[in-house]
Amino acid sequence: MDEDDLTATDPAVGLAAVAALHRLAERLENVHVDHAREAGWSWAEIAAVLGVSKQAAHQKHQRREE
Amino acid sequence: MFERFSSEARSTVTRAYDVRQRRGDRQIGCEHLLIGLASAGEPHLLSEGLTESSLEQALAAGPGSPESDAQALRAIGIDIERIRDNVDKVFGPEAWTDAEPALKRSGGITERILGRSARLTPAAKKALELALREAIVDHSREISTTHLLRAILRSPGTVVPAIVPDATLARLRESTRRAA
Repeated sequence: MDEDDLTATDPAVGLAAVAALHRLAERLENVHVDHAREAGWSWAEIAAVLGVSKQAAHQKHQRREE
Repeated sequence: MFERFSSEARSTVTRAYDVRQRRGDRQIGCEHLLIGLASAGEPHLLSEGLTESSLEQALAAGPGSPESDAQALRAIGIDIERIRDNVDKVFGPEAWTDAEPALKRSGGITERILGRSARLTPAAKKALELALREAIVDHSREISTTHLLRAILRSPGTVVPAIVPDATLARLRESTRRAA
């Protein structure tokens, strides 16, 4: 809980940072996928850049457009 | 095992379920059980000033909250405030908020069909087993709320230490050890 406890060797610090990074990545993915869709990108184009299948990108983000 | 729970201890589990549902969490963890205990009026928690609402507030500001994420990322050299400001500047003032990830899911298909069947996290399951053992050690026929609290305090791998100050935890371990 203390700021002083946050040493780099504490696994809790590293794990919390990784969990926070996942949430940050998810949020940024939403931001940029929305932006790409508004700019007229197809799901295939978005998926290619994200490195996932077209189905995966579509399934994950389509809901956000509705 | 539930048939050995005292009525207060049983009510704790029901209340933990409600807390989980209110927060939209997927599983019942030790943090929900702890809040359930406070809501059932567990005396050791009350005497430390830990109430249902104070613990829920602490949990809301705990791991996974914006404050805690910002701190966690700062520890590895990432300034999330700067990223957020940039996103809002480029994509509009609501862009960051609108893009909040929907990581919390309100339960799987099984839960939707069966209703009240939210699953316990492994740590919570372990805590209930520990509570039974605490009751046996006390030669008690019933598993009381104090047994449950003692078990939660002893369970490893929970977020409880992140929402209750260390000194309070230490005092609780001491006070629950003496009287059951």
